[in-house]
Amino acid sequence: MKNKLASMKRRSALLFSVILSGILVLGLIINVIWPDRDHSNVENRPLQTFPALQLQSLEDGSWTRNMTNWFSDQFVGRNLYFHLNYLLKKGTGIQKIDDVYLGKGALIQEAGAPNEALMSQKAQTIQAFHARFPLNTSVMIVPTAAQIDQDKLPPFAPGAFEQQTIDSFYSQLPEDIHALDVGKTLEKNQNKYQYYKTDHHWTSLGAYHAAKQFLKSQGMEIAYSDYERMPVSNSFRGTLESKTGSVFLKDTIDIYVAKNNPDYLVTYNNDGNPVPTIYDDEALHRKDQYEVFFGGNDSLVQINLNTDSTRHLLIFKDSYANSMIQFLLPYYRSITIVDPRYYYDDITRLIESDMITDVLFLYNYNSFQTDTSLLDVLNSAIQTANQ
Amino acid sequence: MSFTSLLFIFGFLPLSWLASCAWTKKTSVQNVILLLLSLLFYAWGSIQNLYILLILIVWNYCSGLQLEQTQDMPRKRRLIFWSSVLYNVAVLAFYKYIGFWFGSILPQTQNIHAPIGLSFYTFSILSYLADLYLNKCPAQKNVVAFGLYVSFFGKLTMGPISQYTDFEQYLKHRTISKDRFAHGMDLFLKGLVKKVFFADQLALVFAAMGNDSSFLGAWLLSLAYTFQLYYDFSGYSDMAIGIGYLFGFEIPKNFDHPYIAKSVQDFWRRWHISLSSWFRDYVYIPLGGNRVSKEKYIRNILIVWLLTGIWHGPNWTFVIWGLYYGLLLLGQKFLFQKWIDRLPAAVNIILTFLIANIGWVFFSSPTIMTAFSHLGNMLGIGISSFASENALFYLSSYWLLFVFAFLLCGTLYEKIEKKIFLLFSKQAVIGVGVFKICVFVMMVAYLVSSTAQTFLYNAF
Repeated sequence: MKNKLASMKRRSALLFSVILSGILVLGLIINVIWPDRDHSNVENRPLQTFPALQLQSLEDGSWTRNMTNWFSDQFVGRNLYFHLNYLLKKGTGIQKIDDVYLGKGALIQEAGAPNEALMSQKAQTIQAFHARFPLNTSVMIVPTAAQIDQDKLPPFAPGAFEQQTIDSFYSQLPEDIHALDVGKTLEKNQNKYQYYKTDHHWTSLGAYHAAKQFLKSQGMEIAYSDYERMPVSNSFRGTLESKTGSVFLKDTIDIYVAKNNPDYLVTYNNDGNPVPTIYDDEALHRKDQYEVFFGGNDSLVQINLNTDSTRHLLIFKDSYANSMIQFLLPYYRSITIVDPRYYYDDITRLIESDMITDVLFLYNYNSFQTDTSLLDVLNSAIQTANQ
Repeated sequence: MSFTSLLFIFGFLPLSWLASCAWTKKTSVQNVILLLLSLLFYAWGSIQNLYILLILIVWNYCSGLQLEQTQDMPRKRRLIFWSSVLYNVAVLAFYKYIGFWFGSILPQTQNIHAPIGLSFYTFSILSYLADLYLNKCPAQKNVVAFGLYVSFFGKLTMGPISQYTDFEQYLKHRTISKDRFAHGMDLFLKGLVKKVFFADQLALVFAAMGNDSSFLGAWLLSLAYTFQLYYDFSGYSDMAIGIGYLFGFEIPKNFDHPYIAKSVQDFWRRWHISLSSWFRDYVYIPLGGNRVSKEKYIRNILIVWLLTGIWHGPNWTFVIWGLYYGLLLLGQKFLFQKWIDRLPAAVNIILTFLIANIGWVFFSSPTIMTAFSHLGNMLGIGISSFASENALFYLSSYWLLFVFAFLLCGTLYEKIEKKIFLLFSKQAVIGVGVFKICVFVMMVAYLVSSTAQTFLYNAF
């Protein structure tokens, strides 16, 4: 009996070892001969290609590190393995991969812990900027899905704190700056499709609710029926899908075009090559379809509109703004959009040349309480103006 | 290079095997190739570390020859032996402890980091010197064979710590049978599962509970660490031993289901066996072992456990942890043994597990104060609440993993596999083999996704 058991175990182990050796050797051959790709659509990032051997890189250890990354980045079937990983983790009851909650019908990115010191610093700098440039200034910090769609989080997921942090930030701003509490507005529409299920951005609908509130604070009323909704994609799989390898979820992207939309020209980064649209169709064939709005993030975008308005708006923003601007087009003479993460030029000159009358700071909670580039841009503007 | 990098599993490992064992049966030729591969393996992490390894290999190779040449000169021999030992210990102490001892006076010493695996291969070297000095073996005349003993990539970075007299025969002659190879593959997979499926995921729970001062959080933290450490270290050992088998080395097992031990003494016969055997053979027995007076015996035990603690790292928590076990072993010998004999096995297992769990609290804490406050939280002292949201979330996410970790740290898997073979015989031969292949593919999925880097903030 014992012998028979041992013999069966032996045969099974032999079978396993032969197949596994085959897999390892084949895996090696396939991985080496398979052509390298330089970009991952699923992960939305450049991949490590085969590193050239140099004495310098050998000495400082970067060559071996890059080799290790090259092998895992170019691993054949990499995307499939991501999905398998997701299914296995989901199957064993895991409700969070990296910093993404696997919520009810949605992937929700965990909110970063509040950085009170940076928030206070930003409040002071915005105040100083406003004092130096006394324009009609508004601030809108948008809570993410982790705050608004709390009920979609898995059970026992730690409670939301974004609204509290934003409230405390607003309380540090002077009264003549419009602090727009967009959280309440989004909360009122909680059951609507305001955030993508597979991406960390808000949808155009979420952005519409915010735009309505912003314009109202500026004395302008808009209604949903003022815009025509056009679905441009129903196959959007965003950054959170990339991060988790989620299998079943996908999103729809709508654009909203005002029925009274004026003619306009958009100039990117002063390139002297204006285009008549804020949308980028080509992005719909890329992985990150959210880039359909402005083709992604640029340091400087200037929109000149054929309207009777006398107002010239300057927006400091992150990518949340990209889908909100479509709602503002009919109401300004020009809109100047600065993304401080990529902007190194002089803001004072821009304020003069674009005859800015209104300023809007538009960020989502996560990037607002981590990013410091806004401070650099504002401080250098204040300095230049004081000279 | 880590055993769990894809480059190792699908690149280095198969290539090494093809380069060394596939085309020649000559052990001496294989030794040369394996030594070169092992040095490459070590240099992969840092070239500077390779120099230290090479210096130690050459130094100790020469010391070995000198020890042999001075057979008839006991005083000179003793001098050579002790100076070599001191040299190795000094190198180890310099890299591992100097930053801790002198960091406050000489801040630049804080930047000294021990080369990976130094504690392990220094102990292998000391074993060689001691075996030679005690005339248990002849000196290794072949520098390649000696170099391979110290640096074989299977055991270089995390052990098991081999003893020279066990390893010597394989440097002379190795054969790779089909069964040995199959056993090696089996162990490699087993280790991979332990490391990737259990340890790496439990590490997430451990990290998330770090600042949780609720009662539930404190228990999750300590249990996550207890299981993580076992699955991590024994998994790595299994992979190391498995790799050894693939290349014809039979390395003895390093873990034997420690969490079903029935006493502290039993636990240490099952946990990190190569380290406890090393201390037994090279410290405890030379000090007289248990064939001495009661006072000396107590002294011997405390010395061994103090050293065991210090070996793990330059922190008072390790010293406390070592002495904790020293005192418990003395307690077992002189006080508790009669109770242990009378209690049911299950009670003994649970008690031993709890003792180990408390030990790991010291082992894992950055300072003694945090260890005590963590222990306090586990007893309900100074807790913020019974169960924090965070702790409940991780419990609800990972309870299944904990259940598996708990069930599989004993002999349950072996028993189930046996049952399946007996029930299904022929189908089981194929079924179990295919099952293991599927498990391997799953582990690759975990490994591939652990290399994910999505630059989310850039995408905002």
